[in-house]
Amino acid sequence: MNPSHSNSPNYPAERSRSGQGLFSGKIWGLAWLLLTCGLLVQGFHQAIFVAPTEETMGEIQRIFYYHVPSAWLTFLFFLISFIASIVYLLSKRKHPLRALGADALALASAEVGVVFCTVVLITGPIWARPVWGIWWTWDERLTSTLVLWLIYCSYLLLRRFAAGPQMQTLAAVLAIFGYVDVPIVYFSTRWWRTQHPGPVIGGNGYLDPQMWKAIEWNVLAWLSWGLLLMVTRYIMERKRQLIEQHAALRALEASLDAMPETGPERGPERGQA
Amino acid sequence: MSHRHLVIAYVVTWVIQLSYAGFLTGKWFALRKAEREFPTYEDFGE
Repeated sequence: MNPSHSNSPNYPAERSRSGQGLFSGKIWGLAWLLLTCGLLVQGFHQAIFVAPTEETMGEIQRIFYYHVPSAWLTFLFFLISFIASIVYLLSKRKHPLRALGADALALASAEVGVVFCTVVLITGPIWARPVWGIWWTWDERLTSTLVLWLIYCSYLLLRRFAAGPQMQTLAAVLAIFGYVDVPIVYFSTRWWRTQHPGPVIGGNGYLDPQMWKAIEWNVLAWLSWGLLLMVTRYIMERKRQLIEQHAALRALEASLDAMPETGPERGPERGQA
Repeated sequence: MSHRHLVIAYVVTWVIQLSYAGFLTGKWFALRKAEREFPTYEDFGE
């Protein structure tokens, strides 16, 4: 029952080793990585050397060019996780293959979202210390962002340590309920009087066009970086699912092989019946 | 003072992002090893 897999044409490991010319995933991945590196260099150049120095805060304001894009991308990746979790719940009974893909995407985007949220939560206090004179204050924006980070950390911990068939469902529900905190984070500076500055988009403040350009370049660069990480993590999770599935199949095959040959055709019960 | 904080913020951002990329690289090699032990089908349908 155990076939010799090394000669089978159906295994992707064989296909990837044989290569698929110019259109293989590795070449596209490398091109994407190079493009991302170029964008990150350009974003850094715009933030440090091109954008003008802010009059009140001085050089410290340049943290803004990493902090704000990271916050926006946190929202984006948690949104992807939210949508993928809904797709998982809707399709897990009728379309299990689609559900597995959605589950992998939800996990990948949540992980990348937590990475960006960590950047936000660390760069914020580094900016606040010289500007506000304190590292942290329990105002609505900061507290709701910390809660968001904790929710998605608990999501990842659930996925890492929980076992059993209900784990993915529980994780999907947690990702959906956790996403409720995202609009609270975004609108917190409008709904309450917070110490945190107002929103960049839709706020009343004026931003120099050069500063806008620096933000746009950094959003583009970190978006490309984040998507690259997310797609890589998604592919890895899909591979893990396939390996797990195949290991289960082989275990089943092995247990069937080990069973004594007392099938319905040969068994004494059939003859007696 | 503020310049030092700027450098720290940028360095911390890169350290976090590259640490995650390093974590993925390690996981990737572990998966490749597992894939050699349990070769997988192209998709669940086959």
